[in-house]
Amino acid sequence: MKRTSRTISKLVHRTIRGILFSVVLGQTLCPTLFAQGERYTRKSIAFMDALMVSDNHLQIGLADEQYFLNAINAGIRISRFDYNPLPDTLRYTFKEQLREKGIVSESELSALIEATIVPEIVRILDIEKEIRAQNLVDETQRNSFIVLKAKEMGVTAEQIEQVMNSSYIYLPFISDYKVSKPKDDKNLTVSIKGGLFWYHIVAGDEPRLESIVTLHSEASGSEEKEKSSAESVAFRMAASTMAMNLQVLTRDIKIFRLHTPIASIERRTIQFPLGKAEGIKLDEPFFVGEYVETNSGKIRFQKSGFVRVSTVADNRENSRQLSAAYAIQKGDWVKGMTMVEHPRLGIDVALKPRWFDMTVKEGIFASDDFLISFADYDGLAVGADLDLQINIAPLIKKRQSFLVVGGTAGVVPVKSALYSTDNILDILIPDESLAAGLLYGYAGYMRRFYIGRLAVHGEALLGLQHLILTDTYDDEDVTISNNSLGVRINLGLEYAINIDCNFGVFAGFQAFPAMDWWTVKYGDEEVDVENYTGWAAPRISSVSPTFGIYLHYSPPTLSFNPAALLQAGMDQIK
Amino acid sequence: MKKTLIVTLIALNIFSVAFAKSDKPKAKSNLPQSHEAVILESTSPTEVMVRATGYSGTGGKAAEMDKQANVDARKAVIWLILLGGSDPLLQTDAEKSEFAKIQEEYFTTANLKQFVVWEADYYDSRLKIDGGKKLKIEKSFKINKSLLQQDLIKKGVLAENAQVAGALGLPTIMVIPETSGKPSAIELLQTNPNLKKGAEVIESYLTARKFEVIVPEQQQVLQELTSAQYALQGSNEDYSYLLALSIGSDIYIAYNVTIESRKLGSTTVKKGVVACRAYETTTGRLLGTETGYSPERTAPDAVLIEEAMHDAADKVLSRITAYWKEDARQGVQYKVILNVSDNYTKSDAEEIIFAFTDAIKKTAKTFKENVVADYTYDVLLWCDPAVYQSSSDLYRFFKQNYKGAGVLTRVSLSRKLILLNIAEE
Repeated sequence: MKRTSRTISKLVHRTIRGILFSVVLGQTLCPTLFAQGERYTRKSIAFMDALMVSDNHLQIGLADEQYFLNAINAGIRISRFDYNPLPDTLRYTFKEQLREKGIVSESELSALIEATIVPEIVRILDIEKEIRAQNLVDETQRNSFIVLKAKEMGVTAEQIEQVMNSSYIYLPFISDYKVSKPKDDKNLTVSIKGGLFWYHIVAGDEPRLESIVTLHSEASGSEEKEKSSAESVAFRMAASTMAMNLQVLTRDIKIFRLHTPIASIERRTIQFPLGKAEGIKLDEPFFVGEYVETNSGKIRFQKSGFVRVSTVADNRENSRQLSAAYAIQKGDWVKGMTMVEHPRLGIDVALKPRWFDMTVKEGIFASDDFLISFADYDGLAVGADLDLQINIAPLIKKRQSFLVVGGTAGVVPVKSALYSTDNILDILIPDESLAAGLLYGYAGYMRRFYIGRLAVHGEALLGLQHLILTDTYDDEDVTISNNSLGVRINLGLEYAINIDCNFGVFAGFQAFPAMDWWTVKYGDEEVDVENYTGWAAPRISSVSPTFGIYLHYSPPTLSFNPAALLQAGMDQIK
Repeated sequence: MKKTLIVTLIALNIFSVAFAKSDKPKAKSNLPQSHEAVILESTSPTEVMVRATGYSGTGGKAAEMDKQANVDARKAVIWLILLGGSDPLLQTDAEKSEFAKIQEEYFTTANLKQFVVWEADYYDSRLKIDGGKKLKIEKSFKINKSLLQQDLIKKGVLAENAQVAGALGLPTIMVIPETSGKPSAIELLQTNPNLKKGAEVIESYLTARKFEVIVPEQQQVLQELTSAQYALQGSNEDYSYLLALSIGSDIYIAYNVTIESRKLGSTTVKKGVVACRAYETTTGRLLGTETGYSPERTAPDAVLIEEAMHDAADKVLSRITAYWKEDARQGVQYKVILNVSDNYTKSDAEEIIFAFTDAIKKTAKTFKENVVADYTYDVLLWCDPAVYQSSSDLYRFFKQNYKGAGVLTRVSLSRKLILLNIAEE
């Protein structure tokens, strides 16, 4: 509770930054082209358990480096890939040579990899091919006389060639590492910039590496300065955020993006041959469209709508099992058209400007240092919710289910006078104010039901209300809050503008009863205070309908980790 | 005035008729737009797997375009089997022109459906072309080629194999593994299970298509039985008869089988490769060669051989059928080897050969000389099967019509090979 306001303001800042970053990244990674009509084929991935730091002034502890690598490897280890870990000796050679070189450019790195890793990878792929070949054999056996055998090209040879050509390697790197320790904040923040180098291993007579893409992401983490391992904890938090982002960005690389033909269409429900084997999850969005050859001879993917996964088939044993998705924006679709994955975090950011009633019954609050009087007010207040809607559908197996964590920043036009014991002037002349700040923090559950592009949602939230006045005391900013614990329920009507954005309206009811519960925050320190006045205390409540506008966006990345924020919130409550 | 009116009316009538004709909408052709198809493999003696491209019309709803493209792909598949590729069902001009009469009704969707045994759930590719106005799809189909053939026979486009051969009969085919001499082909069949399997697959194709098949091992058993019978009766063996038995087929298919293997990790994967060559027995003429491959996988050799052989055998048999049809048009083929006794002088022998050639000219529709030596005359001749139903008929004719010196006697008469001798009385 103590850090709620700071957390919310940081959240706003980071979210905006995250959204801008996501939009830029989304635009750079949006083109999609695959062989028309083909299904996604599994790719074999080799990874180097070594971290490149492009600036050798950066000192990252060995344990933190390993944590970072583990987080990245866990993030990139997704079902659509087969993994070929490189042997320790090779890794050691590579690391040593990397260490000797210090700062390396991308081209130097490529040369180093080619010299140390490529020959070994080719050998490994031969070993690993056994497993993959077995899978392919199963499929061939299953289809034997049924499916296409491109005999003229040598079916199995082609498949093996495909496997050989579908070998990729990634290397994580950190390009920037900053620690900020603001004086007025008891937390330190570690911000890192980094990403992944992705290479394609081209086997054959002249094995070589071809750079596919370099993914960039940035993330930050905070921890209390006082703690002995504060920097390490903050770095690890940032590392896990970066891993989360890099997974989405990797899924969005066109060669790794899931795509499949539609197997059947029944009204707004479509079936398609992907499932647990490829790691798809409930509610994941896919574009639907078809490949079009333009007059200039180029082939592009023409989107004609989008769907969200409604049933995930277990196709690990039986690849004929079909998953299902429901159409949100439906075009003129037919069996055989292509679905293309639109990778997202599964966390929506919702902005909801809203109006509600506040009731303040005049009264006086007096603590050791402050005396506040409020005038009567019974009228409208305005605020804006900023929510993180974390999709929990894969966990609870109910589609469009969200854990909502968010806050409201608002203002209520209530007159107040604030006296403090800071100096004689403040004792005699109060700071008068025509409005007080409002902050809400809440968490709850939301469910959404789509009917075409329209959706209705209902949410139930449990939260805290803070009515805030600010002052200075002993040259320090002071925040005096009246607190209340309450609930909110909302019902909304949305329209899916596109695959990432919904816009709509909502109405609801909030009940935050009056509580004689006051806190004063001196700088970073927040304390509960007694109300010593013998007079009637101000009674601040909001038991009223609320209504507003709803806008949500599904970003591909965030620069903070909501799970880490939740953890911080839980620690706070403890 | 009346005249003018009549002329005007006639002119108007002519114009209206002409206009009506030009305005008449053209009937939409049922023939495939696409002729892009490829046979992927022959999966069984009766079925083939084909991948074909189909095009939709211009514009329309997605479902409509999809349907049109699917139908077109299906038509392209049938077109390929009937008229495309190296071994189409319709091979002669007569067959093609006969089919042309019914092709519009033949390429209707309802008719083609019966021949499609299976079609892929997913497209091999799907692309909008012409700036998105037309749809192009690629899809795999399995077609019952045998059913298609039977249907065309029923419709009178194709003649039944037996009918094609007419009095000639279907060719008798022997399947033997390639050998360089030792061990013999029969020994190989008895000792090498892969070669045995290969022979079985080809024989299965042959019997499915109602060819007469001579099994070499059985032929040998027959020879041995014959020898034994003669021996029991105390007679001498008739070596010429035994020789004739050994040349009992019109065509023989020689094949070889190779199983290639390599290690993938710790697993050994194998690939079957077979090559089939069809020869005309009497002349040694190569009728067709095909190589078949199995996919590379961990499977018993027999499975790989079967897969590889399916592919090769189907094409070789198509070549044989084509050859036989062509040959049947010329008549029944015989190889005649005449040996003139060396008691004659060279010039006498030459006269004898000339006299014999005169006899051939009387009987053969056409003939081709292979060797004309001092005392040997080797010739291929095609005779009317209605007149000469067997080699003995032909021999009788030669016997009766040979007007040269010496006496014409037979050394051996087999199905297609006639060995003759002319010596002094």
